[in-house]
Amino acid sequence: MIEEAYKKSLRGYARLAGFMYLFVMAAFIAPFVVLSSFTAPGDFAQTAQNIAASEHLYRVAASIELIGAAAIILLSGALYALLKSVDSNLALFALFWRALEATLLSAVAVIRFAALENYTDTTNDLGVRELLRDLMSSGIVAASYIAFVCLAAGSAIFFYLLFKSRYIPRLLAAFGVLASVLMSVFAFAHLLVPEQAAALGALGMAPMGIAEIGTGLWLLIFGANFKHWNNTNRDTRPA
Amino acid sequence: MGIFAMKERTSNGPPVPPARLAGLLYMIVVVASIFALFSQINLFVRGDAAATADNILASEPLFRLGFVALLIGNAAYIGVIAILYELFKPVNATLCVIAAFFGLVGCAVSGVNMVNNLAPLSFLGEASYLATFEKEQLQALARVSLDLNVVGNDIGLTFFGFYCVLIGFLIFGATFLPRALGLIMLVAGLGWLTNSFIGFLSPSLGDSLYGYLMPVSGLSEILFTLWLLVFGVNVSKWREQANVGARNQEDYE
Repeated sequence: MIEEAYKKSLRGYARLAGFMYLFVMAAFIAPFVVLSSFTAPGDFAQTAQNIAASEHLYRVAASIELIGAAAIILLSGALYALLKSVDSNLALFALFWRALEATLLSAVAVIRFAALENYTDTTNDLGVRELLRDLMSSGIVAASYIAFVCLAAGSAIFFYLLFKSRYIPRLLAAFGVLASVLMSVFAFAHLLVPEQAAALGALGMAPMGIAEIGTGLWLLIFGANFKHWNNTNRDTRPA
Repeated sequence: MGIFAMKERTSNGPPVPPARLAGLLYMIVVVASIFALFSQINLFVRGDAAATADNILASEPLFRLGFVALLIGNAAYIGVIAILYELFKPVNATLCVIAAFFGLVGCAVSGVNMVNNLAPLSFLGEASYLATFEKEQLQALARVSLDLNVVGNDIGLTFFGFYCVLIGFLIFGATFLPRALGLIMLVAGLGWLTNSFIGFLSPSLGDSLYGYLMPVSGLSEILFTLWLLVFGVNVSKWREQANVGARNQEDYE
């Protein structure tokens, strides 16, 4: 009876994790597309004009990004609940990394809103505003790549636990571990040799995107497969 | 001596986390936040970086005291999160972990944001390397820091809002606290979340609603704090719920 109730709650956490994987992805991609559309390369005055003309849209995009950062904690909380029976310490450690990621992405949101003031405030000299924009952009880029390192660390652990438990197909979980490693290499490359790494574009992030969308869809549609882990656990349980 | 060594031991059974200590720490958070708010808010002149800079420099000790109060409040909040985690673990351990992480991220965001609270004093100081900049440029940089500080506070409050909502849900599931307190914490959390998001989406509307939302959320949290401080929790009911949880765990294992 209790085992059934426990399994039911795990199934719920698996579906929640699946949904949150997709939600978090959407909550970061949509604002990225919107915010990028305002940028006029090499022309600060035009960028500022675009943003001032669509200030409300900018605010909505930045707010969605912040909701995405908060949703990371819900996603990792659901994964923690699902995987703590596999290894509670490792699951908690992964949750810690993802919470760090959420903290850093919140710092990015702080800078985004402050940057808006800078774009729309016409009282200061254009050169000073451009300099401030450059400073803020550097802060956003640095905080984002450090957040990606935390994302990679947390994801690698969660995917390892999914691999070990076989809650999702092992191939998908192994791909998730590989994507996490690639992402950490990509993020460190951006921090160490930014100009060379920029040539890669979004290539370093693509595998992680595929792994997260794949895992999200799998958990949402098929849920987690507890059969193998239950059998393994029963075999190793002391009599 | 750690806080968990101070658990109440009134009879046999699992030791009860010190709810009154959580209330005391929560009260420190409330008092420190109110002090910081009132010590700094009158110094800001909307749209006038020069006047704000003059006010800050004229009241530097008070400005610094406000910063120290924020720091103490943030540290005390971590204690509150730790004790409430132990207190509500018998209700739903997983939800408790998620709530604790929301609270901790809120503290981390607020902690990082404190740099922005103190930075204006650096920009407005008399360090020789600042001579490179014009006075107006330094005043503008000080204003940017203050803007960042305000936004950072609202973003920190978003996470505290989620934390209060989750604590509200945990109180609903608890037998050792009145359910009305759950509703009160839910109101507090939703108030902070509404305050933050309306402020992000429409600052003018946010400013006009702040005067209503802040007292509602603040008073709700103060009510919860006073309850913990004065009444604590129903110890026998807490033990009962903790024992049921432990038995269920054993049965499953």
